Amino acid sequence: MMTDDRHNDDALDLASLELGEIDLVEADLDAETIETEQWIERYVLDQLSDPQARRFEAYAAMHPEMLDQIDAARDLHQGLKRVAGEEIGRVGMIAGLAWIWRRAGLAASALLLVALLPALLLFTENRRLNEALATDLASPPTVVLDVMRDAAATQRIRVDNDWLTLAVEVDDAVQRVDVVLSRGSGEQVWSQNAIEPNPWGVVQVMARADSLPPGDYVLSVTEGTTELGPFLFVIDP
Amino acid sequence: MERIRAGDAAAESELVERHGRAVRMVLAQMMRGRPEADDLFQETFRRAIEKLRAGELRQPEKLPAFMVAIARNLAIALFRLRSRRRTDEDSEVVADTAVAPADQLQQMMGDEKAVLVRRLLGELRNDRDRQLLFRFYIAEEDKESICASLGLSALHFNRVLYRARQRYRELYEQAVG
Repeated sequence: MMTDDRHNDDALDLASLELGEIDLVEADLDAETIETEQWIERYVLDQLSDPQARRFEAYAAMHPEMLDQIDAARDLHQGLKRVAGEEIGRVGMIAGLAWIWRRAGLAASALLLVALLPALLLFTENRRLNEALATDLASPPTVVLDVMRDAAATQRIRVDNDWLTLAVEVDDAVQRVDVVLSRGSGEQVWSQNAIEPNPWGVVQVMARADSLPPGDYVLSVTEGTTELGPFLFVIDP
Repeated sequence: MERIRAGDAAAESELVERHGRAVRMVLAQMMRGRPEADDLFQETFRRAIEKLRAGELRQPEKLPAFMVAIARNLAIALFRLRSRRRTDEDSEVVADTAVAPADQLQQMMGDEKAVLVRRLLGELRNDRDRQLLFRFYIAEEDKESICASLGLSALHFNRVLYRARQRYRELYEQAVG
């Protein structure tokens, strides 16, 4: 009923809308420029300025085949968003990723991108939902581990949640991995064989925070006899 | 245009038939699924016909640009009106509350798109191309930075985006028979 009321209000609004001046821009684009400068995708993603969007719309209105291209790009964009959301939703990482994005202020680097996608998605598309999830859900923060061959570059993690998810991106071709989590001293904390990466090539290990007291750790990830790490990190007190 | 000026109802229908899709494209872009898009569509044609009857457009070749410009202006005017009326709320809140909840049909269409996109992703030759799509479409990274970090040429980048779009269309057309 509330929706109907609002809808009626809108109907009243429309007749009183000030149309303003109709700016008949020149449709002075060409197909090659549109492709090489990604005008179709940038339009769909709202990355064109208002004058650019007007130019592009004037061109598209005169080239019906362009309308097909725009529809395809829009569907592709929506489908990709859905796929990314479903994938991460399935593994229950949404709030954790929101946390890492917000807390660490991470830019979209190549290594982190796959795991951070939904966080970016939520952050840009529905900041309020994102904040609500991050605040209200007791989901674990996710730490995406980089390959650390230099001990000086070891990743430091402060755990202020009951759970922690460690995420490692692996090559697309990797089918299953064996994972061993050890203390810096060599003492094995946990291991699991034949873990399958998710469809985005991310292997995740979830651990209770109290099982990881402060100290040095090594996450060893191997595929058969091939070592994909090691991933070194320190849990800070 | 002459026929519309003369009050020919069939010409008005023809106007909708010829330019309806472009107007819908603009409103889809501007309104992002909000329910007022349908009303704005009607309003666009009402205003256009009014102006054409009044002889406000003299260059027939500009008619397509004229139609989409009216649609865009109306959408902008609606947003401005809303933000003036809800001065106690920030624009983000206005935008959020204005979005219609996804209905069953939208949900179903979304599911179908996801299925097609999953299929398309599965067909891509390598993970790099998949990453390219996600980084461009979802993370909205710019082309230069994606090309630099994935070691791609601009040409390859253009090709992947173009082919993804084409392939999506093919899959879509197959799906709808």
